[in-house]
Amino acid sequence: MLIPLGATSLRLRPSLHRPSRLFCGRSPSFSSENLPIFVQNLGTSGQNPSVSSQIETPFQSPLISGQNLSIFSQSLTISDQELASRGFIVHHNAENLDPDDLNSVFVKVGFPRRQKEKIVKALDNTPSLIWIEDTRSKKLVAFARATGDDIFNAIIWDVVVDPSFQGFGLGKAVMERLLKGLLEKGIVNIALYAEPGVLGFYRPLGFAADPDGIRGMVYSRRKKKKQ
Amino acid sequence: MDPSSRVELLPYLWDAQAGYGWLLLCRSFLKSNSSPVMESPSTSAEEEEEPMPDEIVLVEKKLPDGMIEQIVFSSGGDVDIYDLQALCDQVGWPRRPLTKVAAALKNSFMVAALHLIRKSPDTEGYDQKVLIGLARATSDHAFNATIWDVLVDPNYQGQGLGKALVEQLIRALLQRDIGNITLFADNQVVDFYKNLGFEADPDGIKGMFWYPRKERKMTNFWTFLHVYR
Repeated sequence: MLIPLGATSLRLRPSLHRPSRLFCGRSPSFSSENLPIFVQNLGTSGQNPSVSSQIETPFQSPLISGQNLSIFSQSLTISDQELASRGFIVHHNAENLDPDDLNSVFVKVGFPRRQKEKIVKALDNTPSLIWIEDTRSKKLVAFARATGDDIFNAIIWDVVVDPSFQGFGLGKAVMERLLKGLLEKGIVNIALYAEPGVLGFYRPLGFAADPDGIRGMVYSRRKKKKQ
Repeated sequence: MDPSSRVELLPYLWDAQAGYGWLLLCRSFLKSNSSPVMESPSTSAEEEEEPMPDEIVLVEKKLPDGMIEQIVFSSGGDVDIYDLQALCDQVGWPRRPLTKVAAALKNSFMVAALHLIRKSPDTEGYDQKVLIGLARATSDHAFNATIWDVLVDPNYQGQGLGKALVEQLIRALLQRDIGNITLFADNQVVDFYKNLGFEADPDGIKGMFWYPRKERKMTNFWTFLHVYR
């Protein structure tokens, strides 16, 4: 079955993998010490995630709540300044994003080339996205976006890093910033679809596969059973 | 026709390949300002289909007192958030802040609803309209859509309404040329969605969640469909 467009997240060309990236670490246990660095310094006194903070509504409080985010500190693995010193600029919207650039990176990592108008429409209707520009070539070199209702749920799609720029932490950089932005909006139900080879990339970021037996499913017209 | 007989339209809906023959059996109510116009079908569409009307009558029943009872599917997003809250109460889901629910519905690409409508045969309007089912999809309007919050009133479960709801939602999404339709299913309902044409872990692709917790299963509304039998 053809992989549906956009179904996969991170795409890295195997020849440029560093072996460590493919190591599948253990699944994160749900204590604050295992949280990614950028989430640890929230000032929530390192409590167990299941302990809720004060919230007036009966809505279950996650570890990251609206109240806590005011003390959200900029503890990313690689800071914006560090990226800038290496010649990379982080963008938080699609204002100066060239869809043709994005398309060419998609092709380089093995996605099918997509119609430009559809990319423009998708970007217009994507509430959260991060992309990194290489100042020397003025081209997009890393990208990630998240769709959803912008209130409760988010799904991350199209996490790509130009193969020539892989291995520098750019994939992690876009993912951390995307997650940070979603959490700041109060969205904690964050999901994605991962190809088998990149589960190890997402686990250290805090993702777990099939939690409680929940399965990701995709509609396939060819497989539809006749009643 | 026996006045108390029930017209079962559901059997005609199961095979989307059958085309629109069954439409002749339904009365569809086009709102005056609605436009069923979708984008022109893409070349990947398997059959040429007429645009879907906003509302489709799934079941119609004539009651002994002469009133007509219908179950109507609509994809126009006309859902009252208080009705939705009552429905969520019915299925036992914890409440969420109403302003957030309203915003989430507004930000959804498509909100499909099932309403139970009671009306007298000679009038145009209706006497009673009750929300008995809901499903919604978020999307980037171009490539991907994800289905969330599928629920059916327990009093109306077991009739195939959940199936009809999701099937119609899928058809509406396909007509809007969204090629990739996804969802996350609790273990108990994976088979339900398989029967509707969904595949779990296609090519080994896994659904992953960020720090999921058991409580979140209900509060953040995975696609948990109580209709599953």
